[in-house]
Amino acid sequence: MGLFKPLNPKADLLNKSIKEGTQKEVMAMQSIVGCTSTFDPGWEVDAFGGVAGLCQPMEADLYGCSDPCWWPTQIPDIMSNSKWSQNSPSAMKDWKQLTSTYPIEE
Amino acid sequence: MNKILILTITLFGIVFSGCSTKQPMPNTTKMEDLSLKKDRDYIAVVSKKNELHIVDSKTQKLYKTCKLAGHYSTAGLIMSPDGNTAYVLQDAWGAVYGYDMNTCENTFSAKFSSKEKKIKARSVMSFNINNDGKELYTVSNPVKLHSDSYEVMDPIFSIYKTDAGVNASPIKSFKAPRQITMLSTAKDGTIFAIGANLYKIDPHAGKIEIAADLRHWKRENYSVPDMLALWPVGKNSNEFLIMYIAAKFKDASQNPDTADYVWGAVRTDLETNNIEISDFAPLETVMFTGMTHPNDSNLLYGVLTDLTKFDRKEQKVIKRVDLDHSYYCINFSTDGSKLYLGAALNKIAIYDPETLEKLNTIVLPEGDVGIGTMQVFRSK
Repeated sequence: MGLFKPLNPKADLLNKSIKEGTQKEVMAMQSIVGCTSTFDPGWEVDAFGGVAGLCQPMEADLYGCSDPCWWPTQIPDIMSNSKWSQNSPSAMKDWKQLTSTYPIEE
Repeated sequence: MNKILILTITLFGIVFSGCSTKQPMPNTTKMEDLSLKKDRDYIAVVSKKNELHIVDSKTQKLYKTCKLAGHYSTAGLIMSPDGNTAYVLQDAWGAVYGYDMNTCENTFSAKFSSKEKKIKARSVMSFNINNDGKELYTVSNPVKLHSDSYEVMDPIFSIYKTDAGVNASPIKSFKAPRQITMLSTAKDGTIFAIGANLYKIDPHAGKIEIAADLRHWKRENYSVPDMLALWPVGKNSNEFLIMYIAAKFKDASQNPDTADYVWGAVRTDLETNNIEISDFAPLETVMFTGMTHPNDSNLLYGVLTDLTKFDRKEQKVIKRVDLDHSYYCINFSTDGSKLYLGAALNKIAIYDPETLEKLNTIVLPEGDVGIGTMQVFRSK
């Protein structure tokens, strides 16, 4: 971890936990397999605890990356917003119809 | 008067048109009712319109389309060993549905969440079928929804009977490791699961052990491997193969600036359960799926923006061709004569695995397939 500098409070917490010997508690929270897909947001890491498996902006494949959620930028994921793209089955043709998401009204 | 006029016009119409009242009825067989032909390869994908497309490999055309019952989510797809049932991960990865491929009927479903228990559960492509098609295995990740917080629970490995119909309940469940993203069934019934490690599962004994360390592997002067395992393909090559990228350091100082970066593969032979972890090429391009040739496991093919054929033993590129766009999922015909690229837009590209020459592109009906699984299966 010495090679990395924490840039946000959660990363800083992880750094402190290593010093305090409580890293495993933090790792437990990293039970992601998709962040919002398991409602365990916060640790924006991939299945292997890194970031290389996350979709990056240069891989801006709307549906490829929004669907399973490993997406660190501002795009809805259909795990939590299943209707976001339901009327837009073709990315090339329908992308203009994609808009923001709003809180779901039960 | 009007009735007589109508009758007269009708009779004249029949006489002068030469029509017979005994014309054969048009063929009313609906597309979804078409039976699969035996001993033939088919290609299956699920689109964002929640449709399962079946392509006939012989005509290289769409054969039938099934409207699916559940809700679409980037679809994991597993075929039963006889090719007659498709199991699809749907409902935002919250359920597996089974569909009869001859009738499109929804014959099975297993839902992981429980409203009564306030548990929401998802599975990340973690499901597979046993060798006689009678049992479905899943790993789901439940979260308890309290009124003021979420409680992450232990992942669960479950066994379902595939003849249990819709809303099936598991016949057995036990705790599973975290971060499992795919399952595969070996010839002897062992289930291999990929996550932070490669796990070996005896489903009926409820026994799970690490078959190979990955996140904490002990390879000297190697970094931790970086892997992405979301496409449950490989059955046609009798393998469970996951590619990795790793830094191969010059010495114990682990200087990333002088390291070599390599592609490698964790390959489990599903016939023998033998596990190989070995590099196969320098890291030159990014790939999302790879598969060895069904008739020669030394030849590995990988795909994303290019299609590359590797010699695993020699650790070198044999040939690389650029593609017209990204394809996430690679798969082979059951005899190894064709290479299929899919999981992008609504296309399937066909390549010659010998020459990497493009043979054809199959355009499916409207609806992207996202990064879903593309399976190639033989109807028996």
